[in-house]
Amino acid sequence: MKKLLIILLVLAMVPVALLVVITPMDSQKQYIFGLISIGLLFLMGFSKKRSISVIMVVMSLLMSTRYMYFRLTQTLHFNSEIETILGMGLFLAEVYVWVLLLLNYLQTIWPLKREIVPLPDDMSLWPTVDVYIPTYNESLDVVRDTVLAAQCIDYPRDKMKIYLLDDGKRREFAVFAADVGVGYITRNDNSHAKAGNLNHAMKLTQGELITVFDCDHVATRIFLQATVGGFLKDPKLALVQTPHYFYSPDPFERNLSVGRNIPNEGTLFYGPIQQGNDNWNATFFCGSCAVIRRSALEEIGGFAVETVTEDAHTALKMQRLGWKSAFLDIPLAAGLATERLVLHVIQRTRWARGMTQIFRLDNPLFGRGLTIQQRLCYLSAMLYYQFALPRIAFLTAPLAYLLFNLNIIHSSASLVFAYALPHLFLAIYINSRMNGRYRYSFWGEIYDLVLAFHLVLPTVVTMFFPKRGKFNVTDKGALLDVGYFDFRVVRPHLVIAILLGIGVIAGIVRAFAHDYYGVDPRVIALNVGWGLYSLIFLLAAIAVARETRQTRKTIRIDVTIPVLIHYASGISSRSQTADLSMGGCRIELPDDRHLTDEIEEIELLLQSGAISIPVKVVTTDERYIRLMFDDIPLSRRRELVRVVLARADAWIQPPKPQDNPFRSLATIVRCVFDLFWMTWKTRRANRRAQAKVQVQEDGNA
Amino acid sequence: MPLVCVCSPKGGVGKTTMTANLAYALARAGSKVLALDFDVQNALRLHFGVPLSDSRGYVARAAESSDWSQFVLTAGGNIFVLPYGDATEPQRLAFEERLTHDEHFLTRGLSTLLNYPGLIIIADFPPGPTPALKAMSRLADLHLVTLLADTASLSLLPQIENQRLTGGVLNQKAGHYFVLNQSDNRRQISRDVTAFVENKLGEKLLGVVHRDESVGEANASQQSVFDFSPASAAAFDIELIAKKVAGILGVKVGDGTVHTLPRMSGF
Amino acid sequence: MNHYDDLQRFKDKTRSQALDFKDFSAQSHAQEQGNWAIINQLLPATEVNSLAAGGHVSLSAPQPVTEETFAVSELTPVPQAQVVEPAPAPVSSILQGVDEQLASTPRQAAAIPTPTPARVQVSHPVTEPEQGAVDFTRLFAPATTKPAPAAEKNQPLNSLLERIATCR
Repeated sequence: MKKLLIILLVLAMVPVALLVVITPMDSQKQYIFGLISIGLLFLMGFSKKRSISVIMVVMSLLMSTRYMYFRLTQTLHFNSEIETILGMGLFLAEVYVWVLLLLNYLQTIWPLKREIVPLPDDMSLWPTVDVYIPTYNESLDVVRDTVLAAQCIDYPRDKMKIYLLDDGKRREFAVFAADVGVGYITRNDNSHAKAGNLNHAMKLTQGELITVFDCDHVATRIFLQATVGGFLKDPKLALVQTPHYFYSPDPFERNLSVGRNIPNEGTLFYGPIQQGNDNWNATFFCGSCAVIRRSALEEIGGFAVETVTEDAHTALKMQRLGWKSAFLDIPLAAGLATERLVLHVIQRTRWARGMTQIFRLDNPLFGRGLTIQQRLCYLSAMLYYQFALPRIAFLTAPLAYLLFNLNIIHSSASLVFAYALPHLFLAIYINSRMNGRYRYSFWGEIYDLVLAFHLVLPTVVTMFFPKRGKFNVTDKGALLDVGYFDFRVVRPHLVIAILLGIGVIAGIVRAFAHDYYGVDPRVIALNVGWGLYSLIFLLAAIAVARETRQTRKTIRIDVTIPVLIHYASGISSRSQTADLSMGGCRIELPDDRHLTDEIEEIELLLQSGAISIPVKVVTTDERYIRLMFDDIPLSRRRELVRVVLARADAWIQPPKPQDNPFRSLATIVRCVFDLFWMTWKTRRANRRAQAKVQVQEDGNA
Repeated sequence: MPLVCVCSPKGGVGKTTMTANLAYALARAGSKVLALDFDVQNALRLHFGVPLSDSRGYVARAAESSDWSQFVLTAGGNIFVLPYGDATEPQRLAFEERLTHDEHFLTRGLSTLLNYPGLIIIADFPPGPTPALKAMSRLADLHLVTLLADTASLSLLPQIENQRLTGGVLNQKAGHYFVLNQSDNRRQISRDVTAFVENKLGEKLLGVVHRDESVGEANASQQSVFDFSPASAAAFDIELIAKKVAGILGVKVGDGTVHTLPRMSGF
Repeated sequence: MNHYDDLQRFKDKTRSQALDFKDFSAQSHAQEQGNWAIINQLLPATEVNSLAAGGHVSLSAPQPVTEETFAVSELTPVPQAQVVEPAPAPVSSILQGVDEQLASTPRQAAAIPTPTPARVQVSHPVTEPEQGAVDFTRLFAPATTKPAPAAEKNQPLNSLLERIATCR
């Protein structure tokens, strides 16, 4: 009955929608229409209900479609060939944005907030699990803690087997595996990289479920108990994916001055997007921090090897056969983010290439086994990675007018603005409302701009030649010991930035002398505004290339854990930690005893057990003392991992405050300002240091 | 009113120290506390600052006096101690003989103290089965069995389960709980025994006190470990145990003011 | 805060207090726990415990002594006040030689401090067998040299075998 009502409602709305989209208006009426819609939006914004969000989404789609219809029917008249080419290019870019907007809304309109499915009390019913930790060329320092953390997972020992899959066939890894008591698997060749490695291991193991951890993803102890329950309850469940949480900062967080105040770049995907996917049973596998049913994998012939993003493709294949997937939005493991911008670019290039390959080789729109929603969700993900050309088109469009006086939009400036305003405003507002805790407004532009120039060739080439493309592994764990500006990675950005700068200046000059030049000041204003807008984002993207020095290899976590301080005299005092890492900790000083009495060991007190570690003092002030851990045997290191990294609640943080688009824009402007400010400061410091050295040399001479 | 017996089948496990420090902890929390010594060693008084040469106590004249509260010592504040005192061998034997055969000997002598409202009495006993323990156990609200975190103490656990301490059920009211002393995670035996005891006794294990030189040094200084070394790990553990004891006894913790102890003076 | 309870915090942060997660950290602790005789005997009775009862593998659990162990025969003279353990026997035989040498100088013998009187006395009974008919070293020899009753024969071997079986 309810369904019928909804269908009737939709049918009744269709002609209204059509009217909204098609009715042409002059600029004044359009302005008013736009402002009314914006006003309505603000009014509705007082309610936080999801059903109101649905209505808002519909409004946004209507306004955006109206804009596109306007562009299609009224603005595509060009005076020359070059204008046609550029103008159509821009229009196609806008079509792309419109399609993506639609798909994105569908994807995220109703995120599924899954709960943990409990395991039965009777442990004999719990399934057997194989934990795979594939590795190729990463150092043992990185992998060691991952293996130790896996051993800390709370699961019956006889039902969980851990395997180190070493494609590098390194002796020290074999020795380590034997020392610590986990399986060690190698193979004769390295075909198909990680997927091949995993498939080979599948032949040698028998667990009903398979868990994959990248070699730097340390699991919390609760990982299996939080994810496995679903497999018992639903026999058709093939995959449970959990978020990739990073305990080290990514290039954006590290290199931008405001980096730590914004949600991490991956939060949008591992939040609303995967939750939205989950609602339509379209969650896809992300290569790590997931549990997969062996029988489902066997049905599709193992992990997919045809593309370089074998993870997404594997999930697609399983879903085609009717298997279900789930996403649990709780960080149950944490890993290292890409250390440098250039590594980030390499990683994303691979993802873009891989998704394009899947688009060409196993297109989700075709073929059996998928529901329409699943197809659209996958399409959304794949189309997203084609953003390179459209982004560049938007970026450089104002240059056409500012530098070359080409008219690529045939319309008066005010009319275009009147149509574009509600289209843009609503989209930004609604995205902020729905995803504001996970991604701040405008930051998507920066993330995309950083990559845009690098992705053009790979995506275009792969689109036409999908079989080409090597799998290059993202480097994990290398320490950056000196800060520098990575000019190489932002060279194209700098070129365009300079052009935009020139264009803006030229535009302003022309605006002041518009009578002399005979141009419409409003057109100039529009283009200059657009150019400035692009320039700001481009500069923010360039700011990410300012690599800062990474000062420590182990990550420090702020946590308060009760701790005993054991002095050489036999006295033991009690205090608490201020921060903790695998290399040491910082403790609140309870008194002055440390000045006269040597601290031999500290003991961290967890409910599940205490661990004592010998320490050396690093520094001390009135309130705190920083201690460094001495070398400890593997079994004790495992206990340290249990305290530092494998705590069940280690990575669960409250979400960042809700987004405010204006504040977000101000933050970005601040980034740009800081880029120049910091560069000037470091140059001045360098010059001073150099002068000092010079004086010394002169003195010595 | 509430009466706590600190006992143990084993000697040298830190009963006396535990009794004294528990008394301090409960007193700090605001309650009036009396530490009562049944051990001929007469060591309990030393924790409260009584000089070594001071021989005052109740046992010597217990047989002839009907009210032992006159022998209580205090240094001000809300903490009191009733030392065993210096007693000759005949006096000691007479005391034990009366304890064994006169059912009301204890209740008569301690009646003033037992009936004083809001006074928590913590009694320290010699190790193993003794007439004093047997006599007091009938009256006690709570027994705290103290053990060291080693296998020598552990091996006596069955004795308690088999009711060898008093020949009957140890405690008839709130029951008996355990306290594990001198646990040191850095030492294998200590660690294993602690883990075993935690596992086996579960809720019955009221607390584990970490091995900490502060306790011995506080004893040597005749101070409470709380005053001697506020940051002491053992002090924290004992305070936690005191809170649990207060909870079991249903004692409302006071306003939390700490009452300092100047000199000791006779009552 | 007593100890950091990460499971509880996890439940609080994810609002899943209704769920009952099992803590397996004892699993790894059990692996590292020593295999102590006294603790093993206090564990709930299982097959493993009954086999592991008792002390070191090389020693058999003490058994009741036989009647002859402390029996006094009419051939023996008044037993020495000091009871000598078998272990010092080889020592006393060395010291016997030393003492014989020292005995030749009575002055020095008198100057020997108190612990040695025991040995001095020992040297006498030890030298006796050379002269007397009764062999005192035999009298206080360890029980194993006595013929053991049939029931006892299997006991040490049994527990030894069982202990070997439980060795890893």
